[in-house]
Amino acid sequence: MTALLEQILHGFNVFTLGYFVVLQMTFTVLAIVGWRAIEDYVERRPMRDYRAVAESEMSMPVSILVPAYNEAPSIVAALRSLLTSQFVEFEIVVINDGSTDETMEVLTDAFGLVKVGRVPRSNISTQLVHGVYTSPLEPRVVVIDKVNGGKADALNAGINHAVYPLFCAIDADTMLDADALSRLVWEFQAEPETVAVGGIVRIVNGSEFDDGRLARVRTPRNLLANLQIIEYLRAFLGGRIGWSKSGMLLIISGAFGLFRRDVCVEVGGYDPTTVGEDAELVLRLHRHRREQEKPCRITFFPDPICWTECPEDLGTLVRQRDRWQRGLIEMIARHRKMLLRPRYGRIGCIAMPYFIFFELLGPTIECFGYTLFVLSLVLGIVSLPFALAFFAVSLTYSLVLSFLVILMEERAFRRYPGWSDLIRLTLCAVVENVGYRQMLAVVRMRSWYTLARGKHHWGEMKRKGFGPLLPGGIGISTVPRLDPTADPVLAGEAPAER
Amino acid sequence: MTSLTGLIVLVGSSLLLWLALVGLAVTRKLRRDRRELRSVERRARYEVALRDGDAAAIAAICADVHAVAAEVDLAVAIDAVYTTLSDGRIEVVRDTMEASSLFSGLSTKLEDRRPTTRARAALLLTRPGIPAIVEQVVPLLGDPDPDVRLVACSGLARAATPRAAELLIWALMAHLLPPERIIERLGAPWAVETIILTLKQGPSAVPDVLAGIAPRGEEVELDASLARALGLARDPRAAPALTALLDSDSTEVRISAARALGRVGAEACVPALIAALDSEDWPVRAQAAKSLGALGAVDALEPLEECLSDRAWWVRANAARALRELGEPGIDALQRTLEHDDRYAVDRAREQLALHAVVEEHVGV
Repeated sequence: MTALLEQILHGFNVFTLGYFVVLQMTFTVLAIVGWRAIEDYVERRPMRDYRAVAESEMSMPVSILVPAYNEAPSIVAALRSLLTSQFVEFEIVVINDGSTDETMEVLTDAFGLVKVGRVPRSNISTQLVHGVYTSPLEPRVVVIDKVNGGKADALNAGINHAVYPLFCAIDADTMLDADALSRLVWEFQAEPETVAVGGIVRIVNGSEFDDGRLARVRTPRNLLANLQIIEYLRAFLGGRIGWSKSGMLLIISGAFGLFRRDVCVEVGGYDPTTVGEDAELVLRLHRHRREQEKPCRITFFPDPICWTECPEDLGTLVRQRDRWQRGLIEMIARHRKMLLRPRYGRIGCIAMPYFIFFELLGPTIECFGYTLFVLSLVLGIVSLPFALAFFAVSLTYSLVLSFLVILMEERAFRRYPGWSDLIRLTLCAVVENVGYRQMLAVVRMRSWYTLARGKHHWGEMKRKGFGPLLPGGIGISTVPRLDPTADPVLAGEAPAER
Repeated sequence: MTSLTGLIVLVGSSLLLWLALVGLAVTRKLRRDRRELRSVERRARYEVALRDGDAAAIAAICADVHAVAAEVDLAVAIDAVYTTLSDGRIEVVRDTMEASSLFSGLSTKLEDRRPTTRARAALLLTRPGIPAIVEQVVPLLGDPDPDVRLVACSGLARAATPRAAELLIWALMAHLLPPERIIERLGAPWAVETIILTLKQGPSAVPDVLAGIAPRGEEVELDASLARALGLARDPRAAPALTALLDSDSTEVRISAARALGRVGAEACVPALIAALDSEDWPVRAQAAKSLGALGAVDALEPLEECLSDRAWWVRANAARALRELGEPGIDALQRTLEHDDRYAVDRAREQLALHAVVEEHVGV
């Protein structure tokens, strides 16, 4: 019996070791591709006149979609900040998703909203739209008032009423760099085959604000937030650039992405029945375009920056990661037909297997790996020197990757100019390996269980807001819950029009 | 013992690798910090010399520019001050640069095998807008690298000569770059005459060096693009040519012309736009209504009022908005419409009056 257990443990250890090697090799390849792409970008940056794109009346105009649910304390400040974007032609479509607070009232007071007839340009099915409002004082602001249906449903209503060929979906609690839109639009005009472009999302906690605008980027004092900064940098600079350059980008963050409106309408917009509607849309776009045998360029651009607040308490972080993981599982499950089908090219044959093996099953393998490794150590199946050596190698490798992305950041963007910030990030790159990563692996493994229990809520996000514009300093926002009992109606009919 | 030695070696080498990376990060940061400071100081120095039009100082700068960073800094400095310089000072900058060894060195780099080197050389060479540079830049329009083509296109616009306009129009036909990037550069007063001539007589001959690249666009498509460029130029000289385009067979060309006329701002084109309100295509009618509003054409009051009952929603919406933009007479017309039998027209009028009321209220406050 003991011999059998030993054999099983030995077998699993070998499997874990193999898993570790393949995973780290993938990370290495992605990091190398990412590094080369960053080098190329830095060399080309002076030659690209992004200011011309921002100022030119020929640039493709953008509709910025801002879904809002009970955002009364912060929505006006968020819109005023967005209105300072340095881009020639854009509209901000706020979708009031059945808020139960004074969101609609504060918007009306601030912008003098007037109810208008506006023919939807598409008819993606959404919850009932009560009315469309525009502001004569700020014609770039449009507000859609509708029955609560969740974030995806709100975005779909926004797509229906957006008038421009590109739309940018952002969260109400995010802040864009003034030139972020022009950099994303550049990608669409440089390559007409582009369907969607994602920008980098960065953490704003700890930074200084002036009149609602980001004045100085600083790392926060909160350890959890600092750990997430490293994590975000690694995910975007060390991962997504590589995936994007290889034509296999599967995720564009829901907090900041620019999409071609007509193509998204063609695929039916966001799916309101999943919690990972952003990633699901990207995969559906890949699938649809390949099935239609049409070109599909979905890419990531590291310079246009969207700033967002990250959770500073463990409870919120756990709920957020649980939701992300459930979204990922749902996304892969819905498009499992693409798996290993040559028709879907690299997406089906490389990216999806990677996501299944390393992103969906990875946390479970990792957790079992930790447990059985300790058990093997206790039973003497693995020697202490080997265990220490393995730990040293994996720690070194993880640190190398983290330092590589810090170097990439320093080479290309220099958003953290202070020495203290860099030292803090460097220390966090070490600290995250002891406890933080393991905790996240457990949370992500647990998502299978929460998904099986049929949890569909989004959880809460405690926010501090962007500076003094927010009364009281803290705004607590509950992102809308899905209401499966409500009947979806077609909101795409022109009200009382011929 | 062996395994312990192995372990020590492994952990030690891991530690060394980690320390090496920290060292690398620190030295890189120090070097970048110093480089950034030098760059800021250099740009400021270049800008002062360019603003003063001091030929000797500019010559000294040209002799000093060797490093890649200095090339970029000089290009950025020229861009920063270019629009503030008088013609005389621009001439001094051009003459001094043209006579310098930097100019010939950069010309050689236009044929470098690295695209970033070609693009950087083209960028700096074309910033002062030296007319003679146009012919040197032509081959770059056919460069395999899109960034090089874009720099060449922007350089031609800086030269702002009729020949540069001809080449840009040709690049537009050949789809060498995204059309928007060329149209926005053509959309300036210096290119208006060449564009009008092209609309009348067709595009000029293909440059010899680019003979291998065939134009891909259709003539109709070119006309629409040129109409858009004329609109961007906002030059009244373009009004007759744009008015003529309102009779084009192509809906796309007529829409572009109607939009451009709204930007050109010439009163002479109002009758043609009023006539376009009777077009069979609703996008043309909608665009004409919008342009009449932008022009503040009070003569169009009645036709716009009639458009409130148009069969297309966008025409009604644009006409109502245009009436509000006409000011008092337009508001009176919207008030009259409230008595209308057509409830769709009433809806649009009521909407614009509500918007007007909010504006009035805030102006009053």
